[in-house]
Amino acid sequence: MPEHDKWLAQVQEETLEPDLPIIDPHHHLWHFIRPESEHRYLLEDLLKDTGSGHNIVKTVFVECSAMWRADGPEEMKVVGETEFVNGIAAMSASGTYGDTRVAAGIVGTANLNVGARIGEVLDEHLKVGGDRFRGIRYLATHDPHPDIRNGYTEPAADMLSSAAFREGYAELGKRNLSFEGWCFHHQIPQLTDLARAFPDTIMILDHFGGPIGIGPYADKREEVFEEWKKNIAELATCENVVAKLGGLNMTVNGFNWHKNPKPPTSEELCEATRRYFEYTLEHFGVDRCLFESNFPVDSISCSYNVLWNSFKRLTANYSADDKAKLYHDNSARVYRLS
Amino acid sequence: MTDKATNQDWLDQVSEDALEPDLPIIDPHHHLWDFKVGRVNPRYFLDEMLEDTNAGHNIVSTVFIECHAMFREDGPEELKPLGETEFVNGIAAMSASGLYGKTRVAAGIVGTADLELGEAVRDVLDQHIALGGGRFKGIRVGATWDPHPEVGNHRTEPVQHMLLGDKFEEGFAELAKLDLSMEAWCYHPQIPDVTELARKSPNNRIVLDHFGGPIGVGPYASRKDEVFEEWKKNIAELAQCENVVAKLGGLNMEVNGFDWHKKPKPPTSEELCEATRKYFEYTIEQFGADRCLFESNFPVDKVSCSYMVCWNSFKRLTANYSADEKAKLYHDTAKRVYKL
Repeated sequence: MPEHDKWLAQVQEETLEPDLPIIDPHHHLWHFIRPESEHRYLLEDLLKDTGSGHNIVKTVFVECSAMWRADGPEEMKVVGETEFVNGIAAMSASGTYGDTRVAAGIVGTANLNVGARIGEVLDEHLKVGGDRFRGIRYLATHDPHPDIRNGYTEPAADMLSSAAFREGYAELGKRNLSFEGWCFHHQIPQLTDLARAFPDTIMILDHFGGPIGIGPYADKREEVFEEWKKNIAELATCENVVAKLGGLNMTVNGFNWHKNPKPPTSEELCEATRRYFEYTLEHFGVDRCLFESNFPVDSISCSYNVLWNSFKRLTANYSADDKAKLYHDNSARVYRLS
Repeated sequence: MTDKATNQDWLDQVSEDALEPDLPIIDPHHHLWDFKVGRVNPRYFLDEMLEDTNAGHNIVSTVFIECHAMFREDGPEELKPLGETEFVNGIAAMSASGLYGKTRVAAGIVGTADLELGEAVRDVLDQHIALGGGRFKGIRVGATWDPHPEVGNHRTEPVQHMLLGDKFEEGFAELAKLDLSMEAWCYHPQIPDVTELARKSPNNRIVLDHFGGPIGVGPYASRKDEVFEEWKKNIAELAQCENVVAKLGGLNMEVNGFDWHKKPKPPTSEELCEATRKYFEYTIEQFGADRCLFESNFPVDKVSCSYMVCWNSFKRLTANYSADEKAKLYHDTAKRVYKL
């Protein structure tokens, strides 16, 4: 067993509410082979996680620059990822790998900064996506401090406001595609502005809008929280925006779980992050929130089973109706999963 | 992360170096699948394929041929084969990312569709093309039918003359409109049906698989020479059709009756070459190098030999061919036929 798996295995929990149907609307699939390391998270790896106790009925893949084409026009290279993932979705839809429908929805990427001609790339995604293609994510994460890693797209600080980007963004709505917003907490107002400019395009906020907890922000957690709260309250006024609840266990969030001798239990996780969840739920409401795993990224801090247990502890006293929305129905609606 | 073939230890008894290891090869016929119980590679995905293609020969690209893999579990019956094209295009995309080396696996995809839908098959074909990411090149029809119970018919349960049915012809015409080829897999007594089909529709392109399946089991086991004569006559007729090309390979299946898999050791490339030489030479003589293409038919033919030995057997056969002929047989004809 690899070292990290051994570390994770120190915390074993019974699955809470194991029958509750869940759509996991945010995970990745990848195979990175680099001189210094290799990491593989393909169908079988994901199925180990989704099969570890919770009732995962479907999943949505979110782009992670996997399997881009080596050749061909630059802008089209991203279509390779959709082809790759749709292939895995087809394997899953064959029924031979169990009941979970992996990548029933696909969120790819496209460089909206090229303007209106990105429409061609979106059409290609739709063509090869086998009716599963739902939208794009284009990383906006930008922070001026060198200890904060920016998105691989190397976005400019004001990318979301630029005219070229918005020209590309306009192509999404024409095709009923959504936009996945991944930014840092101080950039949330830019998303709000973008959402207001395109009220007919569905925007999904990833990972609570990335409250940073490392580098210069490490000792300013309360200050960050207050700024984040203000920004979230404002964004929540946009009816076309929904919020994913999860993705708070990355290194950038600064909880440093991975530096502890043992990983957190679901109770510890739940208590440490509860206020982000509850504030977001309070502002967006149960109709516009969806739990997400953000695996395998968040596996740096906890196992898949512990992660969903932490969500279930948070919602222990919610009504059956509210739970259905947060764990399943909202994702089915937002990603149009029949 | 690769699964070992069930007969790997047996295969390992014959170890050969690649002949002419630099010669660029397109392997225009292989499968990818999982849970194929009864095959020597029940799981044959990208990793397993690459072990074979990286064994020593210079495989630059490959063409996937349908094998009932990953059909959709739900939805309309006629659209279920689209799942296979989606699955294979996913593997092709992984390969095209460059992460797994130079060989472009499934650069061409041949799927399947029920041509007996008639004109209605057009919608299925259009979807194959869209989902295939520019790689979809045609469909294969499994027509293998024989009256003797010892000879296995195709899993699709074709009728004897399925290639000549009216509805089939209607669906077949849709292929030509989309410039898609049809891969014909039949047994040697059925080759005249392929010829008739090819003559009726000169605008359709047909690829004959596995020499038209000369049977060597059941009642045919004791009549090998008779079968060969009938096969020759049929092949000579078919070769008259300019719209037909012939794949050279796929003779190492159980149905061909060479029984390699029952021996204590697998054949060397020399043994393979000599045992099957007459089929290859007659077909090349009749079709010409412009209309012939070597194929591995892996992992099906792996029941008899390794990928290395398989291509070595072909290279022994062509040892005295000109560079130009070799280029055609191993690469250029496949490239042209599948528009790679």
